[in-house]
Amino acid sequence: MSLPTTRERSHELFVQLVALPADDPARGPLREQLAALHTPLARSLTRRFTNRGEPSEDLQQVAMLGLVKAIDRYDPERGAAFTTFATPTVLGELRRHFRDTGWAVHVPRGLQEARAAVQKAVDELSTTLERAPNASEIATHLGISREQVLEALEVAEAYASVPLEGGSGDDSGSPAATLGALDQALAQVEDRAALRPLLAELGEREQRILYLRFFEERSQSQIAAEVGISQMHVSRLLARTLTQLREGMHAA
Amino acid sequence: MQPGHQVRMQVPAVTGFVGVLRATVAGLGARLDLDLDTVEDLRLAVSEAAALLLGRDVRGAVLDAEVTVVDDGLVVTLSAQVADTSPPSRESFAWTVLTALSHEASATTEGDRLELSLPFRRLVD
Repeated sequence: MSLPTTRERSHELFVQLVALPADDPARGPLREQLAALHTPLARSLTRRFTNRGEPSEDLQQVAMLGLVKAIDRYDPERGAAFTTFATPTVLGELRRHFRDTGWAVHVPRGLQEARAAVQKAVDELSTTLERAPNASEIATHLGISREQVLEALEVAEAYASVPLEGGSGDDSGSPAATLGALDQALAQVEDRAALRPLLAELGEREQRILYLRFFEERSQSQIAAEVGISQMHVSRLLARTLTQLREGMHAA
Repeated sequence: MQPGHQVRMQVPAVTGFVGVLRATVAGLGARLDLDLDTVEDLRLAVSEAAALLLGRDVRGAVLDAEVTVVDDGLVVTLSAQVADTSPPSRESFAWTVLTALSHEASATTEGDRLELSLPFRRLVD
Protein backbone atom coordinates (compact mmCIF):
# COMPACT_ATOMS: atom_id res chain seq x y z
CA MET A 1 0.00 0.00 0.00
CA SER A 2 1.42 3.35 -0.99
CA LEU A 3 1.72 6.32 1.40
CA PRO A 4 -1.02 8.94 1.12
CA THR A 5 -0.08 12.14 -0.74
CA THR A 6 0.10 15.44 1.16
CA ARG A 7 -3.18 16.40 -0.36
CA GLU A 8 -4.92 13.22 0.75
CA ARG A 9 -3.42 13.41 4.22
CA SER A 10 -4.46 17.06 4.50
CA HIS A 11 -8.00 16.31 3.42
CA GLU A 12 -8.27 13.49 5.93
CA LEU A 13 -7.06 15.74 8.79
CA PHE A 14 -9.44 18.54 7.80
CA VAL A 15 -12.39 16.17 7.74
CA GLN A 16 -11.50 15.14 11.30
CA LEU A 17 -10.95 18.75 12.37
CA VAL A 18 -14.24 20.18 11.14
CA ALA A 19 -16.13 17.34 12.78
CA LEU A 20 -14.90 18.46 16.21
CA PRO A 21 -16.63 21.17 18.27
CA ALA A 22 -14.71 24.45 18.58
CA ASP A 23 -13.61 23.78 22.15
CA ASP A 24 -12.57 20.14 21.73
CA PRO A 25 -9.00 19.61 23.06
CA ALA A 26 -8.31 17.15 20.23
CA ARG A 27 -8.33 20.09 17.78
CA GLY A 28 -4.91 21.27 18.97
CA PRO A 29 -2.87 18.28 17.77
CA LEU A 30 -4.83 18.16 14.50
CA ARG A 31 -4.10 21.83 13.79
CA GLU A 32 -0.44 21.27 14.59
CA GLN A 33 -0.21 18.36 12.19
CA LEU A 34 -1.90 20.40 9.49
CA ALA A 35 0.42 23.37 10.11
CA ALA A 36 3.45 21.08 9.87
CA LEU A 37 2.11 19.48 6.72
CA HIS A 38 1.64 22.88 5.01
CA THR A 39 4.80 24.57 6.27
CA PRO A 40 6.37 24.28 2.77
CA LEU A 41 3.54 26.45 1.40
CA ALA A 42 4.16 29.13 4.03
CA ARG A 43 7.88 28.97 3.31
CA SER A 44 7.49 29.33 -0.42
CA LEU A 45 5.14 32.31 -0.03
CA THR A 46 7.59 33.95 2.38
CA ARG A 47 10.31 33.71 -0.24
CA ARG A 48 8.40 36.20 -2.39
CA PHE A 49 9.18 38.83 0.24
CA THR A 50 12.73 37.99 1.20
CA ASN A 51 14.31 40.52 -1.16
CA ARG A 52 12.90 43.17 1.16
CA GLY A 53 15.64 42.71 3.70
CA GLU A 54 13.55 41.33 6.54
CA PRO A 55 15.13 38.41 8.44
CA SER A 56 13.27 35.51 7.03
CA GLU A 57 12.74 33.72 10.37
CA ASP A 58 10.44 36.51 11.55
CA LEU A 59 8.66 36.44 8.25
CA GLN A 60 8.29 32.70 8.42
CA GLN A 61 6.49 33.11 11.75
CA VAL A 62 4.20 35.71 10.26
CA ALA A 63 3.42 33.34 7.41
CA MET A 64 2.72 30.51 9.87
CA LEU A 65 0.27 32.76 11.68
CA GLY A 66 -1.53 33.28 8.39
CA LEU A 67 -1.43 29.56 7.77
CA VAL A 68 -3.05 28.78 11.13
CA LYS A 69 -5.76 31.35 10.44
CA ALA A 70 -6.44 29.66 7.12
CA ILE A 71 -6.56 26.24 8.81
CA ASP A 72 -9.20 27.50 11.22
CA ARG A 73 -11.33 28.92 8.42
CA TYR A 74 -11.03 26.18 5.82
CA ASP A 75 -13.98 23.98 5.04
CA PRO A 76 -13.04 20.84 3.03
CA GLU A 77 -16.69 20.46 1.96
CA ARG A 78 -16.40 23.59 -0.19
CA GLY A 79 -14.19 21.76 -2.64
CA ALA A 80 -11.29 24.19 -3.08
CA ALA A 81 -7.87 22.76 -2.30
CA PHE A 82 -6.43 24.04 0.97
CA THR A 83 -3.39 25.55 -0.73
CA THR A 84 -5.64 27.61 -3.03
CA PHE A 85 -7.67 28.75 -0.05
CA ALA A 86 -4.70 29.52 2.19
CA THR A 87 -2.50 31.46 -0.25
CA PRO A 88 -4.35 34.80 -0.07
CA THR A 89 -4.63 34.56 3.72
CA VAL A 90 -0.91 33.96 4.16
CA LEU A 91 0.02 36.68 1.66
CA GLY A 92 -2.38 39.06 3.40
CA GLU A 93 -0.70 38.38 6.72
CA LEU A 94 2.74 39.01 5.23
CA ARG A 95 1.62 42.25 3.61
CA ARG A 96 0.05 43.46 6.83
CA HIS A 97 3.30 42.74 8.60
CA PHE A 98 5.15 45.00 6.17
CA ARG A 99 2.54 47.67 6.55
CA ASP A 100 2.74 47.60 10.35
CA THR A 101 6.46 47.31 10.88
CA GLY A 102 8.62 50.06 9.49
CA TRP A 103 8.57 51.06 5.88
CA ALA A 104 12.30 51.55 5.98
CA VAL A 105 12.63 47.95 4.82
CA HIS A 106 10.78 48.51 1.60
CA VAL A 107 10.03 51.45 -0.60
CA PRO A 108 6.32 51.79 -1.25
CA ARG A 109 5.44 50.93 -4.83
CA GLY A 110 1.87 51.81 -5.66
CA LEU A 111 0.05 54.91 -4.56
CA GLN A 112 -2.10 52.92 -2.19
CA GLU A 113 0.96 51.71 -0.34
CA ALA A 114 2.54 55.14 -0.39
CA ARG A 115 -0.61 56.59 1.09
CA ALA A 116 -0.59 54.13 3.99
CA ALA A 117 3.12 54.82 4.55
CA VAL A 118 2.56 58.58 4.54
CA GLN A 119 -0.32 58.27 6.97
CA LYS A 120 1.87 56.27 9.32
CA ALA A 121 4.77 58.71 8.95
CA VAL A 122 2.47 61.62 9.77
CA ASP A 123 1.45 59.93 13.01
CA GLU A 124 5.02 59.09 13.97
CA LEU A 125 6.44 62.50 13.10
CA SER A 126 3.60 64.32 14.84
CA THR A 127 4.58 62.54 18.03
CA THR A 128 8.29 63.31 17.76
CA LEU A 129 7.93 66.87 16.44
CA GLU A 130 4.89 67.66 18.59
CA ARG A 131 3.32 69.28 15.55
CA ALA A 132 2.23 68.12 12.12
CA PRO A 133 5.11 67.45 9.70
CA ASN A 134 5.40 68.98 6.24
CA ALA A 135 5.91 67.17 2.92
CA SER A 136 9.74 67.42 3.01
CA GLU A 137 9.91 65.98 6.51
CA ILE A 138 7.70 63.05 5.52
CA ALA A 139 9.81 62.41 2.41
CA THR A 140 13.03 62.35 4.44
CA HIS A 141 11.49 60.09 7.06
CA LEU A 142 10.34 57.56 4.46
CA GLY A 143 13.28 57.88 2.13
CA ILE A 144 11.01 58.61 -0.83
CA SER A 145 10.77 61.69 -3.04
CA ARG A 146 8.79 64.73 -2.04
CA GLU A 147 6.75 64.34 -5.21
CA GLN A 148 5.71 60.84 -4.09
CA VAL A 149 4.59 62.25 -0.75
CA LEU A 150 2.59 64.96 -2.47
CA GLU A 151 0.92 62.43 -4.75
CA ALA A 152 0.08 60.25 -1.78
CA LEU A 153 -1.45 63.21 0.02
CA GLU A 154 -3.64 63.84 -3.00
CA VAL A 155 -4.76 60.21 -2.89
CA ALA A 156 -5.49 60.62 0.80
CA GLU A 157 -7.72 63.56 -0.03
CA ALA A 158 -9.57 61.53 -2.64
CA TYR A 159 -10.27 58.98 0.07
CA ALA A 160 -11.69 61.65 2.35
CA SER A 161 -15.08 61.25 0.70
CA VAL A 162 -15.26 57.71 2.09
CA PRO A 163 -17.61 57.63 5.08
CA LEU A 164 -15.92 57.90 8.45
CA GLU A 165 -15.80 54.93 10.70
CA GLY A 166 -18.65 54.90 13.18
CA GLY A 167 -18.57 54.99 16.95
CA SER A 168 -17.28 57.89 18.94
CA GLY A 169 -14.41 55.98 20.61
CA ASP A 170 -14.33 58.76 23.14
CA ASP A 171 -14.95 58.26 26.80
CA SER A 172 -13.59 61.46 28.25
CA GLY A 173 -15.81 64.31 29.28
CA SER A 174 -19.57 64.26 29.37
CA PRO A 175 -21.65 65.61 26.49
CA ALA A 176 -23.15 68.17 28.84
CA ALA A 177 -19.70 69.49 29.79
CA THR A 178 -18.64 70.07 26.19
CA LEU A 179 -21.94 71.53 25.18
CA GLY A 180 -21.69 73.86 28.19
CA ALA A 181 -18.21 75.03 27.18
CA LEU A 182 -19.38 75.55 23.60
CA ASP A 183 -22.36 77.48 24.82
CA GLN A 184 -20.18 79.80 26.89
CA ALA A 185 -17.83 80.34 23.98
CA LEU A 186 -20.81 81.22 21.79
CA ALA A 187 -21.67 84.20 23.99
CA GLN A 188 -19.49 86.25 21.61
CA VAL A 189 -21.14 84.89 18.48
CA GLU A 190 -24.15 86.79 17.21
CA ASP A 191 -25.81 83.97 15.28
CA ARG A 192 -25.73 81.66 18.30
CA ALA A 193 -29.50 81.30 18.41
CA ALA A 194 -29.47 79.55 15.04
CA LEU A 195 -26.36 77.56 15.94
CA ARG A 196 -27.38 76.15 19.31
CA PRO A 197 -29.90 73.58 18.11
CA LEU A 198 -27.48 72.48 15.36
CA LEU A 199 -24.63 72.05 17.83
CA ALA A 200 -26.84 70.07 20.18
CA GLU A 201 -27.46 67.61 17.36
CA LEU A 202 -23.75 66.90 16.90
CA GLY A 203 -22.06 63.94 18.53
CA GLU A 204 -20.03 64.55 21.66
CA ARG A 205 -16.77 64.05 19.80
CA GLU A 206 -17.73 66.50 17.03
CA GLN A 207 -18.74 69.11 19.62
CA ARG A 208 -15.46 68.68 21.41
CA ILE A 209 -13.32 68.88 18.28
CA LEU A 210 -15.17 71.96 17.08
CA TYR A 211 -14.74 73.65 20.45
CA LEU A 212 -11.04 72.83 20.67
CA ARG A 213 -10.24 73.98 17.13
CA PHE A 214 -12.27 77.16 16.82
CA PHE A 215 -12.62 78.44 20.36
CA GLU A 216 -9.54 77.06 22.09
CA GLU A 217 -7.51 77.38 18.87
CA ARG A 218 -5.73 74.09 19.29
CA SER A 219 -4.06 72.66 16.18
CA GLN A 220 -5.51 69.59 14.49
CA SER A 221 -2.54 67.49 15.65
CA GLN A 222 -3.02 68.56 19.24
CA ILE A 223 -6.70 67.70 19.02
CA ALA A 224 -5.85 64.34 17.45
CA ALA A 225 -3.55 63.51 20.37
CA GLU A 226 -6.10 64.65 22.90
CA VAL A 227 -9.07 62.84 21.41
CA GLY A 228 -7.08 59.75 20.43
CA ILE A 229 -7.74 59.68 16.68
CA SER A 230 -5.55 60.53 13.67
CA GLN A 231 -5.03 64.08 12.44
CA MET A 232 -6.58 63.12 9.10
CA HIS A 233 -9.64 61.95 10.95
CA VAL A 234 -9.86 65.23 12.91
CA SER A 235 -9.64 67.10 9.65
CA ARG A 236 -12.44 65.08 8.08
CA LEU A 237 -14.67 65.41 11.13
CA LEU A 238 -14.15 69.18 11.17
CA ALA A 239 -14.92 69.47 7.46
CA ARG A 240 -18.05 67.39 7.83
CA THR A 241 -19.21 69.27 10.93
CA LEU A 242 -18.70 72.69 9.38
CA THR A 243 -20.60 71.65 6.26
CA GLN A 244 -23.43 70.35 8.41
CA LEU A 245 -23.57 73.60 10.40
CA ARG A 246 -23.46 75.76 7.24
CA GLU A 247 -26.26 73.79 5.66
CA GLY A 248 -28.28 73.95 8.86
CA MET A 249 -27.81 77.71 9.16
CA HIS A 250 -28.67 78.19 5.52
CA ALA A 251 -31.86 76.17 5.88
CA ALA A 252 -32.88 78.09 9.02
CA MET B 1 8.09 78.43 -6.27
CA GLN B 2 9.19 81.95 -5.41
CA PRO B 3 7.56 84.74 -3.44
CA GLY B 4 5.41 86.75 -5.84
CA HIS B 5 4.39 83.73 -7.92
CA GLN B 6 0.67 83.63 -8.41
CA VAL B 7 -1.91 81.03 -9.34
CA ARG B 8 -5.27 82.33 -10.55
CA MET B 9 -8.44 80.34 -10.97
CA GLN B 10 -11.97 81.13 -11.95
CA VAL B 11 -14.74 78.62 -11.37
CA PRO B 12 -18.52 78.73 -11.82
CA ALA B 13 -20.20 80.05 -8.67
CA VAL B 14 -21.59 76.62 -7.89
CA THR B 15 -20.85 74.59 -4.75
CA GLY B 16 -19.66 71.62 -6.79
CA PHE B 17 -16.61 73.59 -7.98
CA VAL B 18 -15.44 74.56 -4.52
CA GLY B 19 -13.74 71.16 -4.25
CA VAL B 20 -11.56 72.08 -7.23
CA LEU B 21 -10.38 75.24 -5.49
CA ARG B 22 -9.90 73.34 -2.25
CA ALA B 23 -7.74 70.65 -3.83
CA THR B 24 -5.61 73.11 -5.78
CA VAL B 25 -5.01 75.41 -2.85
CA ALA B 26 -4.19 72.52 -0.51
CA GLY B 27 -1.83 71.06 -3.14
CA LEU B 28 0.01 74.37 -3.36
CA GLY B 29 0.24 74.58 0.41
CA ALA B 30 1.76 71.10 0.64
CA ARG B 31 4.23 71.94 -2.15
CA LEU B 32 5.30 75.03 -0.25
CA ASP B 33 6.05 72.77 2.69
CA LEU B 34 3.38 74.10 4.98
CA ASP B 35 2.85 71.61 7.78
CA LEU B 36 -0.11 69.28 7.33
CA ASP B 37 -2.17 70.95 10.05
CA THR B 38 -1.96 74.15 8.04
CA VAL B 39 -2.72 72.32 4.78
CA GLU B 40 -5.88 70.87 6.33
CA ASP B 41 -6.79 74.30 7.70
CA LEU B 42 -6.40 75.65 4.15
CA ARG B 43 -9.03 73.21 2.93
CA LEU B 44 -11.45 74.20 5.67
CA ALA B 45 -10.84 77.89 5.06
CA VAL B 46 -11.46 77.64 1.30
CA SER B 47 -14.75 75.85 1.95
CA GLU B 48 -15.83 78.35 4.56
CA ALA B 49 -14.87 81.45 2.54
CA ALA B 50 -16.43 80.10 -0.65
CA ALA B 51 -19.66 79.28 1.19
CA LEU B 52 -19.69 82.79 2.59
CA LEU B 53 -19.46 84.30 -0.89
CA LEU B 54 -21.89 81.84 -2.48
CA GLY B 55 -24.38 82.70 0.25
CA ARG B 56 -24.32 86.33 -0.90
CA ASP B 57 -26.13 85.77 -4.19
CA VAL B 58 -23.26 85.84 -6.66
CA ARG B 59 -24.04 88.19 -9.59
CA GLY B 60 -21.17 87.47 -11.90
CA ALA B 61 -21.81 83.69 -11.87
CA VAL B 62 -18.13 83.09 -11.17
CA LEU B 63 -15.88 82.78 -8.16
CA ASP B 64 -12.33 84.09 -8.48
CA ALA B 65 -9.48 82.62 -6.53
CA GLU B 66 -5.92 83.78 -6.36
CA VAL B 67 -3.06 82.20 -4.46
CA THR B 68 0.05 84.28 -3.97
CA VAL B 69 3.30 82.77 -2.76
CA VAL B 70 4.83 84.95 -0.05
CA ASP B 71 8.08 84.67 1.91
CA ASP B 72 6.75 82.48 4.66
CA GLY B 73 3.72 80.83 3.09
CA LEU B 74 0.84 81.85 0.88
CA VAL B 75 -2.14 84.15 0.72
CA VAL B 76 -5.45 82.85 -0.63
CA THR B 77 -7.87 85.42 -1.96
CA LEU B 78 -11.42 84.53 -2.91
CA SER B 79 -13.68 87.10 -4.47
CA ALA B 80 -16.94 87.45 -6.34
CA GLN B 81 -19.42 89.99 -7.57
CA VAL B 82 -22.18 89.80 -4.99
CA ALA B 83 -25.49 91.40 -4.20
CA ASP B 84 -24.47 92.25 -0.66
CA THR B 85 -20.91 93.55 -0.48
CA SER B 86 -20.86 94.42 3.22
CA PRO B 87 -17.98 92.67 4.99
CA PRO B 88 -19.08 89.75 7.15
CA SER B 89 -19.71 90.61 10.78
CA ARG B 90 -16.74 89.99 13.07
CA GLU B 91 -19.14 88.40 15.53
CA SER B 92 -20.57 85.84 13.13
CA PHE B 93 -19.77 82.16 13.49
CA ALA B 94 -18.37 82.01 9.95
CA TRP B 95 -15.89 84.76 10.76
CA THR B 96 -14.95 83.10 14.05
CA VAL B 97 -14.13 79.96 12.07
CA LEU B 98 -12.19 81.83 9.37
CA THR B 99 -10.06 83.79 11.82
CA ALA B 100 -9.30 80.68 13.86
CA LEU B 101 -7.97 79.15 10.62
CA SER B 102 -6.20 82.25 9.35
CA HIS B 103 -5.49 84.79 12.07
CA GLU B 104 -4.98 87.66 9.64
CA ALA B 105 -8.10 86.99 7.57
CA SER B 106 -9.61 90.17 6.15
CA ALA B 107 -12.56 91.20 4.05
CA THR B 108 -12.62 94.14 1.68
CA THR B 109 -15.24 95.63 -0.59
CA GLU B 110 -14.26 96.89 -4.00
CA GLY B 111 -17.13 98.25 -6.05
CA ASP B 112 -19.59 95.40 -6.42
CA ARG B 113 -17.07 92.81 -5.32
CA LEU B 114 -16.44 91.28 -1.94
CA GLU B 115 -12.95 89.93 -1.42
CA LEU B 116 -11.78 87.63 1.36
CA SER B 117 -8.06 87.42 1.94
CA LEU B 118 -6.59 84.56 3.97
CA PRO B 119 -2.86 84.43 4.71
CA PHE B 120 -1.33 81.13 5.85
CA ARG B 121 2.19 81.04 7.21
CA ARG B 122 4.82 78.40 7.61
CA LEU B 123 5.57 77.42 11.18
CA VAL B 124 8.86 78.65 12.52
CA ASP B 125 10.60 76.12 14.73
